[in-house]
Amino acid sequence: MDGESVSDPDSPSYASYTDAFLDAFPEYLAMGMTPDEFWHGPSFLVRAYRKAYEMKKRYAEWERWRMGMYIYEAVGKLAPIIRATFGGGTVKAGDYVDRPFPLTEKEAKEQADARQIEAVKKMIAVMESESTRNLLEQQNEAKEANENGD
Amino acid sequence: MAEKNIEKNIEKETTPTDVNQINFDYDGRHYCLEYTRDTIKQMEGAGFRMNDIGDMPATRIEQLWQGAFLAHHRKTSLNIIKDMFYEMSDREELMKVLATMYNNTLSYLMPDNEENPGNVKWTASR
Repeated sequence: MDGESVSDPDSPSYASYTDAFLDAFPEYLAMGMTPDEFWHGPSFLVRAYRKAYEMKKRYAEWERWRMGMYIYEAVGKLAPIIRATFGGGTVKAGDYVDRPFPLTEKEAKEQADARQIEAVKKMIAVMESESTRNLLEQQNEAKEANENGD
Repeated sequence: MAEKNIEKNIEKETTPTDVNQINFDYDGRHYCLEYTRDTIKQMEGAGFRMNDIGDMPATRIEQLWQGAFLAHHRKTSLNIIKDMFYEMSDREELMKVLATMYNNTLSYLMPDNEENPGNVKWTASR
């Protein structure tokens, strides 16, 4: 704040609080804050605007993802015509992305973790169904053996 | 002696960090002290610098106190503001809270711990 450099070379240093405010001002205008709110409003209001802006970006990304789904669906419906027009073939279309692209590193990590958990759950379900099948088979064999023995 | 040392080492919650206003009644009127970015701009325009508070404590403390009236009580006379200060209880804590409020106008511009949960948590103690 007094113009001295800070330990992080990428972090800006300001001679005064006013300089820091003026530097941040355009960013908060872009988030939708009015000049009156920024200069004369409660100082904590900027936190709410930051969080609201993050939420807006996330909602917009969901909207783009949903629009992509509609387009994918529409193109998929047209696929037989396209196949027929260009000589057929049995290539299957790729799956549409199952969720919007992540906006931040934190979101990317959360999505990767969620996918991992889903994969593990699927594997457990498969293993459980296989072991259940094996158990039923064993029970049937034992029953048949008993019946034959009798 | 050992007991006194232990008492000193116990962590005690000091000045709260998330403060934005000071409210009190004086001489039949209600006062709400607050800093906005505009009032800080005015204070700095008049020569105030928080970093100088160690070098010029008396002057800066007075300016810090007076500056807190700019947002909602601009027309209150300086004499009344000065008199008020000497009648406030626990002035040391009051100045700490004012300094925190002043700094918050800048610190709120920075992403805080809720947004970066991996940051190191710390506590202040005496």
